[in-house]
Amino acid sequence: MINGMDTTLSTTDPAIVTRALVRTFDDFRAVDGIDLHVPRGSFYGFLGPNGAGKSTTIKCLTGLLPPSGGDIEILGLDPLQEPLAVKRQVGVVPEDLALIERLTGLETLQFVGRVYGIAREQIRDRSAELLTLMDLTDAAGSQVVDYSHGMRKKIALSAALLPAPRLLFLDEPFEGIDAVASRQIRSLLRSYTAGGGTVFLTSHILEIVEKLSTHIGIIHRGRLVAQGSTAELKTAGGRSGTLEELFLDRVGAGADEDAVLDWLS
Amino acid sequence: MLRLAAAWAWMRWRLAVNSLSRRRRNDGIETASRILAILVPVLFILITLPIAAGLGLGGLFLGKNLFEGREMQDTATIVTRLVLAAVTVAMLIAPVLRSGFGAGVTINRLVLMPVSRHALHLQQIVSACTDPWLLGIVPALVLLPAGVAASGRPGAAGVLLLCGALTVMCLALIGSVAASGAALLFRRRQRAELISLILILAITFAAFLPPFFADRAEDRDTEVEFSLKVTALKSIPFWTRALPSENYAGVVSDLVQTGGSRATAGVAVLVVAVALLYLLSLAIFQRRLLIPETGGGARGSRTGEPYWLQLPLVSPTVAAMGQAWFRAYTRTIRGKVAWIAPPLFLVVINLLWSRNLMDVLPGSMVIYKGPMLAQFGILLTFLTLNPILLNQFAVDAGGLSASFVLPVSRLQVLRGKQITLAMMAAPVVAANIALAALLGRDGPLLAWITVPLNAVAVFAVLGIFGANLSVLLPRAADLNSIGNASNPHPLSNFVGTVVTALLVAPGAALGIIGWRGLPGWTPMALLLIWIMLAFFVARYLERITMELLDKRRENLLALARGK
Ligand SMILES: Nc1ncnc2c1ncn2[C@@H]1O[C@H](COP(=O)(O)OP(=O)(O)O)[C@@H](O)[C@H]1O
Ligand SMILES: [Mg+2]
Repeated sequence: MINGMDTTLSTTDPAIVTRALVRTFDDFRAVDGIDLHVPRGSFYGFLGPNGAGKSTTIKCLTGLLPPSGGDIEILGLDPLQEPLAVKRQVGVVPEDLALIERLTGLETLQFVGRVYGIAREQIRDRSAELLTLMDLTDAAGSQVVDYSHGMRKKIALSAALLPAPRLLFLDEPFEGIDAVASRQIRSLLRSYTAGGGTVFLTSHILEIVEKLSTHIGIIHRGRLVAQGSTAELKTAGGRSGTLEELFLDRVGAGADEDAVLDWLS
Repeated sequence: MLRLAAAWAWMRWRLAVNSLSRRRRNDGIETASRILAILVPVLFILITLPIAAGLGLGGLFLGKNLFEGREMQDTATIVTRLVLAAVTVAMLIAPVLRSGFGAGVTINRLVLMPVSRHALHLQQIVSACTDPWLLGIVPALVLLPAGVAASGRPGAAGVLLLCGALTVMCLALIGSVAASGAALLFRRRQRAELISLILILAITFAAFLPPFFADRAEDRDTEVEFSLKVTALKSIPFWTRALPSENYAGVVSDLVQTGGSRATAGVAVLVVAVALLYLLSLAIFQRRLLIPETGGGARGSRTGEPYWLQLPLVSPTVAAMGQAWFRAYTRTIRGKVAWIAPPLFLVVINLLWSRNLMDVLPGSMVIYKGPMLAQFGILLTFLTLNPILLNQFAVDAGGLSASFVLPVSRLQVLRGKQITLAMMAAPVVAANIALAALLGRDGPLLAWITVPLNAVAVFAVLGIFGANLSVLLPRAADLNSIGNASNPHPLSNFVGTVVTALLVAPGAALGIIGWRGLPGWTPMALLLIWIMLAFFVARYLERITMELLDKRRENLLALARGK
């Protein structure tokens, strides 16, 4: 936070700030000094190749992993000092989805609603709407253990949305989801950010992020190699402006476009 | 074929090596816990090796003296029959215990590769051959003919060796049939769970059968009884020859009695059995390959509005967590067993009681049967609940992640777990009390009142002690498996069982035998002191567990996923 600024009233202060965030596994630095800046109301796409450290970052931000170093501020609060106050305003779809396998879809939603202390009628109405939207009404009475991969994602997303959080963390939400559902979720998320909510989403699918994101961060080998508004980043450095170019440029991998496996032809 | 075998062996070897080396940060507790977990199979080997060696030496001795006299022949026939029958049963059941829904992953990977079905089938048979049960009797099956040969009858030895080899093949094929059959049956989750539940109950209660037979024998003349049993075991009805184990024993007695005139028939039966079993096993195996595993199907099931109770004394958040886990656990096989098994056990114990226990007691002592059964019910309830209770933070990885992501405090998570376990135990304790009252309507009212009070005292400590153990020694467990995969860490299982018994004992003693020469209220007063002490200890343990939970959060999350 910039000194002297009123952090509690301003609506433009960031939803997420990290300073020199580090997370190590033994001597391997999975997240290596990241300074995130995610404005409120933004749709922040956190991009990076496989194994770049995206999930580890999200786990540190959501309290699943303690960071090894650095500061985190979420919605103006320190999650290490006031974890409950932060979690009450935040919805998460973690990498492993955090679903209780033996509950039904409907029970999952009601469970989350009750943990957040939402009124019963409200839980019922919101669950019904979410299940319809996600096309899960038929499966609502089945146990999550019998759900397909995409259905699990959708019920986890519904559970994250049900308490109407101010900030959403989504780890690879579109991976394994069919085109119809993906489109519905995208429009849902767009209206969510239009209403003032913030989305922090990781993905390795550039097309989706390009269409949705107002802001983008690119992580590579645990380091943030680009960050800023999507429009700014696309045109920075006089490039013609696709996200793919920026990504390949910053990540540096796959530069050899004509890669061929001789023995494969 | 050889290449496949080599690739397979290499894969198993890599899996074993990889399971030991990992990149994740693990603390001292985890390292110690892993070493302990490795010690268990080592112990298993240390126990089975001498048994196999003993069987082998026994076989050698029997073989050498087989033609020396009737007694030796009787012993040989009976021992071979019993051992081979036991191994046959084991070969039928062990693969079923080991399988379960989701066990077919490796075979699915192989099916994708260009390997013929026959080769895959052979691989399955070979791996059935490496079953410890089967390996355990191989020395005996080799050394018995060796002994016979040493006594100067090479012909008979040859026949026995051939029969032994054929019997091993039969048993391996039976194992293969059982494995494929189980995989076929377990294709659908719901069916797999139902069969597993029935099976685990059947196996548990089969363990109670021997004492019943032993009991009846006591009434009769032991000598007569024994010789009766010997005759019964020795005379082999011809149709049972179709069973490989019986056939082998039959060949042994033929060799001795008729000099082997019927041994050819015995060998022929074994050859036919091998051929038929091979065809059967191949047929089931191919069918299994064709039909993949499926979940239960997540469509078109009933959508009743779930009910949620308002629980007294706890916040709605804790109540919600407690009930969510309660539902989740009671839908698993272990959860169902924890509900069904204790009352059934109680009935069995009641039967044993009326026969034996009263005679053992000194005459001056009075024990009320009803209250005692009820107190026993407490012990049974917690022993069957222990696979969940002692491993409460590792039986449900998703729920654990959820409790770290949702806005709940560590204390609330801990209390939620205790609510779940209390909700699971309370109805079973109540059912056991009712059952005990039906089975033994004696004892003063105060003795009955101590039962629920004791249950409360036991649970207060045991629930939180289990939380403590499960944070220290978590083991990724699948509550839907009926085999070892659903058990807690071996050390915590052992400690937990001992502690359970120790916790039940004082209150139970007060309720059952604490009355002689004392005013009626004394045991009750002592029991109340015991309960207060229990709650005091529980509060203390709660604080320790919270600290540990904080420190070991990361290891727990990783371990609960079996990483
Ligand atoms: N628990 C862990 N123990 C050791 N290494 C880990 C652990 N979690 C992640 N890593 C490593 O950290 C790196 C980043 O992983 P992750 O954040 O999951 O990447 P991604 O960007 O694909 O989500 C990877 O190299 C991964 O192997
Ligand atoms: Mg990831």
